Amino acid sequence: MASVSINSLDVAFGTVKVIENLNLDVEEGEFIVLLGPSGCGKSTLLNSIAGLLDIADGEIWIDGKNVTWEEPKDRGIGMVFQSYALYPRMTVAGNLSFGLKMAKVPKPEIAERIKGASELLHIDDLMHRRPVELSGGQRQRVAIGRALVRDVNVYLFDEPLSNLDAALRTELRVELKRLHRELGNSTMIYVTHDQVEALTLADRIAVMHGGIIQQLASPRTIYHRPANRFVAGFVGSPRMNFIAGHIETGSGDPVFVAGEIAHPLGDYDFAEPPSSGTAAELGIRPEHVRIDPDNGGHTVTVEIVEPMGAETVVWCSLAGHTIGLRLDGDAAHEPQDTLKVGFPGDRLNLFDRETGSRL
Amino acid sequence: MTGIATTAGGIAKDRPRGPRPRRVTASRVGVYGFLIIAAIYFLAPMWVMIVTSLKTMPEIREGFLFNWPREVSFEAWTKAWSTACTGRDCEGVRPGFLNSVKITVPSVAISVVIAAINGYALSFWRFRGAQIFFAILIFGAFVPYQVVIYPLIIFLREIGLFASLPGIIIIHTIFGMPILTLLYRNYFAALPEELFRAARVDGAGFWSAFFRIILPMSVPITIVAIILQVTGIWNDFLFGIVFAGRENMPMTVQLNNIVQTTSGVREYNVNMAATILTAAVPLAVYFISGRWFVRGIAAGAVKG
Ligand SMILES: Nc1ncnc2c1ncn2[C@@H]1O[C@H](COP(=O)(O)OP(=O)(O)O)[C@@H](O)[C@H]1O
Ligand SMILES: [Mg+2]
Repeated sequence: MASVSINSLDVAFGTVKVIENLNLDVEEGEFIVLLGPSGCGKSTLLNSIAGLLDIADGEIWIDGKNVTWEEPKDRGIGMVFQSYALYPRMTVAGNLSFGLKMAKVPKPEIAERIKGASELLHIDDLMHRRPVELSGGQRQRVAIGRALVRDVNVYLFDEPLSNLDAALRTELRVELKRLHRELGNSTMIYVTHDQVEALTLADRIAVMHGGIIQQLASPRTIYHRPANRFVAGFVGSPRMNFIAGHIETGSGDPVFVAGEIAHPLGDYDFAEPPSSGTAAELGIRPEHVRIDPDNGGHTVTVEIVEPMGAETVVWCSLAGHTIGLRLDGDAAHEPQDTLKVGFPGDRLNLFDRETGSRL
Repeated sequence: MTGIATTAGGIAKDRPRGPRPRRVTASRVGVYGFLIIAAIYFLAPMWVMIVTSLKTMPEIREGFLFNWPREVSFEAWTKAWSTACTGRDCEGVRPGFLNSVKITVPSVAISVVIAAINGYALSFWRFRGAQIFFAILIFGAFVPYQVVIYPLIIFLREIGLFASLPGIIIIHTIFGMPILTLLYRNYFAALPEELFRAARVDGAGFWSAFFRIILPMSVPITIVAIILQVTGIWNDFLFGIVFAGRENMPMTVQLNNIVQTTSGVREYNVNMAATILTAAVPLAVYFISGRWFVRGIAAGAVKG
């Protein structure tokens, strides 16, 4: 049984439809990440699940119950917000207990639940402080604690780490993953625009764009077999190299042609046999471009070298296209060098230029 | 005078280092000059009022408007407070003071509470028709009072509250509503919406979210609202004279009656003392709360 199901959801602000006919099933205990650029409707989707927005159409099921018309508090969810949204005039203890007091939970049980959550999150020393007296990381821990004490099965996170500095973000990211494991069977729906968070945390990622889920798959599949041009370009940094051209089929293997570039596609795993002349875009990630002096391949000219410590990113030109290569940290190349590079067939991505979908 | 060294020679020798020395420029002199003149312009009448109220009538007749009294006398003050005559009654401004308190305290309390709830509902519970409701309310702020006075007289007479304390309180509550609601709504609009959403997820309804979360965050703007209402209602003359009825005449009306009473000589010292007494409450409010007022006005930009 799915823990959260969204059936043909429509959400509109006035006349603008932000989400149209969206379907999503989240399994129990799953950590699902909604990933997408800012403004694509992630928060809108999350708020619809929480019941904080009026939806135009569709159903929302949580734990086998149709909660479409339920109040947020009755949906069995806890939520963590980007701005922490701690109640400024209450202490940490007050923040944690507010929801329980509202639900008329008996005092001893409130104390017990607060104790459990605060120990799990290492905030037991902060109980009598006000939110202004906490650091960003502590505030976010308290906000997570406020969701945890509700003792529900589904937790919603709306960009919970994006207001923190880089070091804290990494630290809390790891902690969230640990928390998910320790809680056992909790379902988590986590919104972010940060692909690293998505790739590291998720069991499955739903990549969103323009209010539509572009691909819903494991991080591995999202990264290595993006379903369309948008997903391919959005996930990965430095981003995938793209070359626009078309496919020619003849007597032998199909060939990708873009101006002077001709790349045989004998070992590419086509979804269905291509027809000749299909306008296509070839994509390959920077780390998959091989430097290959012996095996022919393509000749590129080094333009810019970016040493990044653990790796070096080299930007080259190939027949007017800019191609990024991700090489070892100690790779020594200079601008104007020429290199022979190969594109391994099992690492290639081909997209239809009209529909954007994977060929 | 060593703190602000401006001798050109001393500085020119050194390389520029540390805080830049302040110079007395023409524009600075101009600014201070203007401020001082403005202060004198506003304080001079105040000064005249105070010294006049402390003089005896013979001394006032000598002229010398700005002079400190030869002999300080508080007689005029006691007379203004408790024995000055308005027509037949000779009780000073004291009854008016009590009436003003009886009008101001409930009017301020009721109007501020209702406006806070209005602003809260308008910014967080976007109910159907909220925009139109708000537009009408704002429009109400621009309707000239004179236009609605007569209909309101009829209305209050019909419900039997014309010329009564509850009547004048209702009037002040109604007329304070547009500006106070606007004040609260804008303050709440600047609060992070996620805070309210968190309260909803935590199970807070309309009233519990208001009393437990939103109201505790509204102290600065509530102080602004109270100051606006106290001074506005205390200074009111028109509504008081029309709606309050004879027994509830506020202090402003009584002051006017004392000053306008033309039997015998004009007692300038008594008039001045009565005026200062009437203005004392708003003045005190500003002096005590000026700091809070500025902070509250600025707080619209501050989160949390
Ligand atoms: N209250 C609102 N009224 C009108 N439009 C809104 C409102 N909230 C969000 N939108 C619009 O809906 C779209 C999706 O917003 P949102 O879900 O917040 O995006 P994300 O969280 O992915 O950045 C945006 O284009 C935004 O402008
Ligand atoms: Mg968002």
